[in-house]
Amino acid sequence: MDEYLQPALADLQERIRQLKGLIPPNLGRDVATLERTCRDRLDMAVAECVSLGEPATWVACRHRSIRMRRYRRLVEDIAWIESTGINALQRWQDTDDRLNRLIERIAREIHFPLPSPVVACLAQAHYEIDTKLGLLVVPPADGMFLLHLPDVYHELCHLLLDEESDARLAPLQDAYLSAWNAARGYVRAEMRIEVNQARRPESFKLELRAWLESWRAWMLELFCDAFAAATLGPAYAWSHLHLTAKSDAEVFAVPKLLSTSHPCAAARMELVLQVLQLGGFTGDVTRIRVRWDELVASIGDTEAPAYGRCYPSQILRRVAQEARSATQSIGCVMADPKAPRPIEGVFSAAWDEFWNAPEAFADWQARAAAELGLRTT
Amino acid sequence: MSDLGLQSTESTRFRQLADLIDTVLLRATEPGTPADQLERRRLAALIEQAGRDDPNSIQAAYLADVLSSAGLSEPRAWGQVVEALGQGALPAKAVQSLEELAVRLDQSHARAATRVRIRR
Repeated sequence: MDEYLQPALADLQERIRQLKGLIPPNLGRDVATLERTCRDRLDMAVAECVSLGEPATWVACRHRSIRMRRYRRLVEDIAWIESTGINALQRWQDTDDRLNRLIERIAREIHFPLPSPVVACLAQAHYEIDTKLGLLVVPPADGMFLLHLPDVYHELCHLLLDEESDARLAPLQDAYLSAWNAARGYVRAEMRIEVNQARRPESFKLELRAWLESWRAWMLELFCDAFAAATLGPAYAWSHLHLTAKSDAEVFAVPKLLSTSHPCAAARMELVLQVLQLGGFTGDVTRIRVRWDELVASIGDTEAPAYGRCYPSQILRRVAQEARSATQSIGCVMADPKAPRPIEGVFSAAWDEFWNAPEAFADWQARAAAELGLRTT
Repeated sequence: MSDLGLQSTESTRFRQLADLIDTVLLRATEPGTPADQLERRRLAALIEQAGRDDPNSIQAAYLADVLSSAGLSEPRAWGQVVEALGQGALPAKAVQSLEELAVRLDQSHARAATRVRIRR
């Protein structure tokens, strides 16, 4: 394999040099952390190229498969930096700068305990965060609109759950692990029931296996939902309703054979409303529930028979309570119905305007976005 | 699929585990330096934790899921691997089990990375 690997590794090193050359100069402080992280990661990739190209290290027969695995991971890492970080840096624009300033203000407002991520308006669909690069991406125009920006709060929590070796974050991460263990324990118990039932279709067991695997990712998403609802309040629930209305995913989806990365919309709304209820947003919960029921009826989805078994209420209740309490324990400021903070207030007002004065909403949003510094007047 | 899903939380966790196993495997047949022994102890602790119902670290919980979904969670076999990691050079059987686990972790990483995502 040396005849293949040596030139392939040299080609990768040249690619890294070219990638660094694609980063435009003088991008400014807002994006400096992303540029530094990308450069550091590319330097690490060069070191790995050198290590893999050292024939003396890989002479033993049993080392060949390790070398190939590491080579493939290296190629993937470089492709990842290229398609995410370098892509963001290469097309950096004023709208990115404006949104970054808002994210900084949000982070200060909720006492977010980590450096806020760099935000780039280049997502192909909805919001997504890369926790290793600290890069949050939103769709190109979302930096000028208010109805979905609440989703930023959800993405921020991914950073908190992924950060390693930070004692301040232990209450949240411990609560997450404990809730995940509870969910795993629950699904395993259901699996044991299936094993003991004679003449049950094999598909039931496969379904439960898919649930077990799904809960790994679901618990992350549910904690992020709870964090967003706890720190922002009802605007996050409205944003979730908005996303559900636009998505063609089944509202009560239950995995059959393959695991999924996100829990279904109904379970997420159930959780979010519980968090809001705990925060004292009783009136908002009632209003949101009415609109939610209307939406679900309009879509025509009904609760799947396995929904309650797949997303047990006791697990969702536990996540709502423990995630909210842990968010408070790490020092984040909770949304308060009696005293909304400035940005929280704008997002909340946006949804009030949307429902109460729809004909004037576009003008209202344009003014509010300009006041937040998201649009030039 | 979004390219940005490539380094999602899940796939990153699997990658970290696979990297750790390959680091250990690289010098598996040698007694090992103190640094190697430290890595072996880290891995042994994770595997040992993963075998419990209530893993006490997120990383161990990920490993438990992989062992379980790959049908590799036979406790006695992994008990022997944990024991071997605590001693000197690893026996061939332990090396083989770890090789298999590294491959599974790479597969889990790839699955997590390519799964169609509903973003946010």
